[in-house]
Order: sequence, then structure tokens, then C-alpha cells
Amino acid sequence: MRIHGLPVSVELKKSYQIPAAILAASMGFYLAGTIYEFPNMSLLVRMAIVISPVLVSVACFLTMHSYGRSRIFGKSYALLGIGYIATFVGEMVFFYYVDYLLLHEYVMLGDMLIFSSYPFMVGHILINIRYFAHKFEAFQKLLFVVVLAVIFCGYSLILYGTPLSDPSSFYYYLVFVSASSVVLGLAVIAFTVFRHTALASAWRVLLVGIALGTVGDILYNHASTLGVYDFGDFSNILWIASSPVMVYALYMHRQSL
Amino acid sequence: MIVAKGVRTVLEEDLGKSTYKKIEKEVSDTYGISVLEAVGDFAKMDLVLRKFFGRHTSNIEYKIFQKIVSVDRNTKAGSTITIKDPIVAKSVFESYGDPAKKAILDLLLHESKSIPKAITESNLPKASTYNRIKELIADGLLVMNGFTGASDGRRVNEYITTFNKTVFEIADERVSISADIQSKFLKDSYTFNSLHVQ
Repeated sequence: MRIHGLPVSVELKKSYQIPAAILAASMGFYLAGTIYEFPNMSLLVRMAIVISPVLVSVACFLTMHSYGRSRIFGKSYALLGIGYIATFVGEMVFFYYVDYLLLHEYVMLGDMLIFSSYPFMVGHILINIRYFAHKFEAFQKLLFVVVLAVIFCGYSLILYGTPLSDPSSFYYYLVFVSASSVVLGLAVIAFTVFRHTALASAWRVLLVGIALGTVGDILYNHASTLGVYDFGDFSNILWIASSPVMVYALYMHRQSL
Repeated sequence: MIVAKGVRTVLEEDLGKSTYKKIEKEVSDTYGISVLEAVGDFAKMDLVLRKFFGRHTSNIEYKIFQKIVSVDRNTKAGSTITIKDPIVAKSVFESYGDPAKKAILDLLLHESKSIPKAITESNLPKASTYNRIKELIADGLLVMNGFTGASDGRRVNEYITTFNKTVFEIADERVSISADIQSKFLKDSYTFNSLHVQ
């Protein structure tokens, strides 16, 4: 079957191949940088983390524009774009105030800005789900609970019994992990909603992008709770890989419908 | 057929013009007809929408129809519907505002007649009346209601006005229509059935 754009089999292959290639390239860059100790590696990583949300945001607004600010696609991609702008501003706060000026009192502001992106992402996914699906099915509710439970319990168990210099940091970062897992859980539901539609490949790639971001969030929050986060942390690579995957998902969305 | 003009508006408003264009192209590639025609024969439109939206198509159709028309009262004899979509309502309003079309709709209000008989009894110019009847059928304001035998023995379709009673409300240049419709015209209606299955 072929609707518009690529034949389904090619589209399906690309929905696996391109995210895999992006992840491989990001990991290759990370490994090469670690092994050969690139000069200014930490600055490169930091800049990539700051710039990548802008790319997603621009892609979101282009997608919104291509759907003519329509009630569903227009509004939902505008929300996603705003969410990524919040992430960008949050990363800028970290980049300038925390890392450059070493003003650590701005950490909370940066975290709040980044946290504020989650409701926008939730809004984006819910608008799409609610328009296409009449109601959540039992297995979708179960999937959501399983995703949340696995991440929440897994994260808590890993840190359980670990001596922390500031025990309250566990609960502080757990809030971020929970918010990120809600986004991933909803993205999984969204994928099950769209899996037999023309948007199946686009939502598969979007799910991969969100999943990379969530795993990145979990690793970052884990490292921050232990106080061992630095620019060599693997979470950075997952964040950097997540953005181009998201951009590709948005491109696929525009091509499919 | 009445809702056909509203489907485009709703699809464009909800999912965007580019999505509507893709649906339009798919309808044209598959059936060689326009979306307006496909909506008139909704099974075709439904098949195309299913290619795009899979099993969620019924839900989308429900949302589309809900924005265009609502069923206010539903009895065995008939139903009262409200046409909410301004474009669809305007189209119906314009038909009732055309004196010749109004005369045809009044003539066929209580009794179904064949097109030649309606033309003869209307006392209007033949050619323009024929065209207006065709337009009313295309707009869904006249519906087929059985057939009769012509003088040469052929079977000729008879038509009747779709709405028994029509009330127009005009507020801020927006027209909304409340109309009574017999249940026998609704039983095969995709719109009506979609609104009632949910």
C-alpha cells in the first residue's frame, strides 16, 4: 500500500534506520571525543545541548505552519515548539549563569525552565491522542502504568541505600524523572493509537526521540543526585541524539499527512 | 450530501489544509472524483479516510459531523436536526432564499413527484427549473422517494423535500438552521448513523 510520499515498506525501514544512524553518529562522536580527548570537548557538548532544542523548536513551528495553524496539528506542534523553547532557555541559563559565571543559585531557575517543557510535551501528545482515539483502552492504561512504574521503581531501587551527601536531592531529581516518564508513557500510548494510521512511522520515530530524551533525563538526574555529573556524562549524548531524531519525526509527519 | 460542504472546512480547521489536500489527492487518485462527490457517496470517502486514519476513522467522522450537524430530537417518525456549520447553513439558506428553488421545495414538501411532473406543476421556465432541481438534489435538499411509471412505461424516480419544517436563525451574520426530517431519510445517512453509533 502506498498513500503519499514513500511506499510503506521504505518508510518503515527509514523509521528504524535514520534514528539508529543518528544515535550511532552521536555515540561515535562521544567515543571519539573520549578516546582522543578532543580539545574543548565539554564546550562542544554544552553548545550542542543548547542548540539542539532550538532545532526541534524551529522544526515544530515549521510543522505548525505547514498545517496552517489547524486546531489539532497546528496547536499541538505549537505547544511542542514552546516546550522546546523553554528547554532552550533553561539550557542557556545553565550555559551562561551556572557554567560560565559559576552562579549556582541559577540552577533552580534552569531546572524550572526545563521542567516547564514537560507540560507542553504532555499537552502536545494529549491533543493528538484525544482527537484520534475515543478513549484510552485498557491495555493502553496498563502500558502507561507499566512505563511509569518501571522507571519510577527502577530509578528509586538503583539509588536505594546509596549514601547521598544531600538526601533531599533524591526527591528533587525524582520529580524530573517522574515528569519525563509521564511524557514517555503518553508517547507509548500515542504510538499505539497511531500504529495503524498514515502517521505510524512518524510517531514511531517521535517515540524513539522522546525515549532517548527520557533515558538521558534519567541518567542526568541519577548522576546529579550522586553529584557526579559532568560533560562527559552519557546523558548528554542521548539528549543530543534525541533532537535530530525528533526533527526527523516532524519531517516524516509532514510527509505522511 | 447536505454536510458535504462542511467536511472540507472541518478537515482543514482540525488537521490543516495540507492534510485536506493529501486526502483530496487520494480521493482523486483512487476514484477519480472530488472530495465533495466522495462525501456525497460517503462509503468512498470513508475508505480513503481509513487509509489515513485506520480504525480511528469513525471517531474522526463523528467529530467532523458533530461540528456540522447535531440531532436535537429523535423519534420513530422523524428527527429535528440543527445545521451548525456556517458554510453548510449558508448554502441551505441560499437555496431557500432563491424564489424558484423555494417554489420547488414547497411543491415537493408533502408529496413526492417525478422531475418532469414537478417542472410542469411549478409553472416555471423548464430549463432553469430542471437545473435548479438538479442543484437541490446535489445539495441534498431533495431526496429520492420511490418511483412512478412514465407514459412510455419507463420507471422514473420521484423526489420529495428533505426537510418538513425549516427554521432559520440569523445572528451576527451567521446562519444556523433547525429542521425536521423524516426518519426514513435518515436510516441510510452516514452522518446520522455516525452521530448515533458513538
